[in-house]
Amino acid sequence: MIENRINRLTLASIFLGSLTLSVEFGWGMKNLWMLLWLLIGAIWMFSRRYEISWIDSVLMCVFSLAAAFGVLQGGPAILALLVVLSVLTAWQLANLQQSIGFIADENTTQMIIKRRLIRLLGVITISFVLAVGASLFNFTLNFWAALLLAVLALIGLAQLITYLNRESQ
Amino acid sequence: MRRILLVCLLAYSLFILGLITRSGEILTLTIPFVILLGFSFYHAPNKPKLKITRSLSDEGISPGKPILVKLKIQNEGDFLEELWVEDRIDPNLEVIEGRVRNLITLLPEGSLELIYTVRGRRGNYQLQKVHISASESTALFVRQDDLNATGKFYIKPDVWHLRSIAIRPLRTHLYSGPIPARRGGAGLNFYDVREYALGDPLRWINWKVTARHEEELYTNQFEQERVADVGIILDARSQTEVVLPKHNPGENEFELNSIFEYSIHAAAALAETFLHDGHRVGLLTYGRGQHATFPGYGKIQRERILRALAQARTGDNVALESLTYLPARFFPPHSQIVLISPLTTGDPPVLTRLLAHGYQLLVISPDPISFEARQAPKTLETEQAFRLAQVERTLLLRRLQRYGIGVINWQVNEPLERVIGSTLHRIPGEIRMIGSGL
Repeated sequence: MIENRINRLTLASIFLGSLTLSVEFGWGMKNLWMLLWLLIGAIWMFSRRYEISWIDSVLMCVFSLAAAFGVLQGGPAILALLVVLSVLTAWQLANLQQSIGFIADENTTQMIIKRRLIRLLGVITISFVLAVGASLFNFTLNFWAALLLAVLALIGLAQLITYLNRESQ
Repeated sequence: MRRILLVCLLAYSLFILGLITRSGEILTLTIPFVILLGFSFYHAPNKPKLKITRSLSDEGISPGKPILVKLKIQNEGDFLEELWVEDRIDPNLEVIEGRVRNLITLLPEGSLELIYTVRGRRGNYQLQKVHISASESTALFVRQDDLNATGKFYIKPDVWHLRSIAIRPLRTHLYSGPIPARRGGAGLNFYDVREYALGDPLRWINWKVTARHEEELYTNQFEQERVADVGIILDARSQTEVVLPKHNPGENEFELNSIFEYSIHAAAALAETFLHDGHRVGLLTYGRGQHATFPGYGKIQRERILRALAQARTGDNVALESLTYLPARFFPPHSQIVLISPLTTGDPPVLTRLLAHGYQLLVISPDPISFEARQAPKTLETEQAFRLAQVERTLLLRRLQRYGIGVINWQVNEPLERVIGSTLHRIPGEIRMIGSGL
């Protein structure tokens, strides 16, 4: 029963994500793109029936990058943010649905679901507030500042990968 | 791909794209991912300190019988929001009840029991590794480990019931048993008549013989019955093995589908019968290596032999391809040896050598040809091939019989007890005695 509810919530998130993305693309581009994202969203929803986790991960990445691409094409940033939040929610819920299948007792199931949903809600709320707040401040970066940030980001990524490797060993 | 790495890469991709395009709007798209990572790192679990103990309901069971496994996990560290526990069991074991994996929340000093029931085929099993994986509630930051919780058990072969088997080794022990010892004394069967000696019971006096003499008294002597040494040799050479594929997935998985499994069951049944009769029994498995269970008596020896049979496997060993290096001296001189083997054409000289060393030899040979023919396609070529193979096998068995070796050709679809009963009665006593020097 609870799994069905989570599943419905996941499907709703995917639907919202694909709908928002298609609207974002429809804003500045041809209608064909709108249909394409709706179709991919439908495929994602259909694939949930088989619970293949890598499809969720891949499509989450695809939708997030497509949302950024949509912004570059002139789509509204708020829609892109909604896409990212929706697919992130769908991805987390899909993982939750997969996990609760392994829980033996009902109390633990309730506890884990509650904790995960609260945390997810926290992530979404804070992200939304921060992102909307950030978009209100219209700041611009010069080239050298952007380059410096990019180099720092790459160094950070390398450090993170090293840290994760060390942790896994 | 690990979830945390995926989120990191995605956040970095958006971040770099935002920097390249110098778009603040794209940079804001990284915020949800960064917040998610922040939550994940903030709530990241410490290295779990867990104490795991395992208990099994039994050490040795029969095939198909369930065994209850209890795994107790005690948290000796911090609160674990989500702990994934998976007992990595042998793939040959089937879980029939309970779970071998569970996702739990574990408070400090809290504990959990993972209880499940498994069953499996004959073999020696060791349950050892328990995989744990602790994560926080976004399931991004995961700490994994494999903990040791050793538990061993063995699934012994089914022991078929056999009636007492008539063997006649040359040498017997002092203890009374079922084997006629060719010595006069206390027993059941008449053996000889001799002159009365002081202390002989009066009811043993043979009055008919005494009546023919004037002064002497004569008493009956009975044949003493003793126990003996029996050595069982199990042929585990892979060249003698025949395995039939299982066609139907719903077929009983515990049904025997290899000739070696039949040999194992025969060895178990014979060991049980000989030990029950009071003999001293040893086992030698000859195949990939030579695994010996030294001769012994009683129930403990029975368990030792069944344990050895539980772990017996066929295998290749170039040095042991023939029976040439069979360590005959492992068994006491002049004892009874029972060889359980489908036999190959190179085996008779080695068996005659055993006879020459003074051992009494009985060969129980599960028939691999008729066994394999059961599932072979019925074509003219295969039928002719099986007929030729059968002729060759018959000649091999006759050759052994000519040497004076008791041979039981066992079609494995027939009960072993019936085959042994009918064949041993047909083997003439004098042939069974060849090699004994009597």
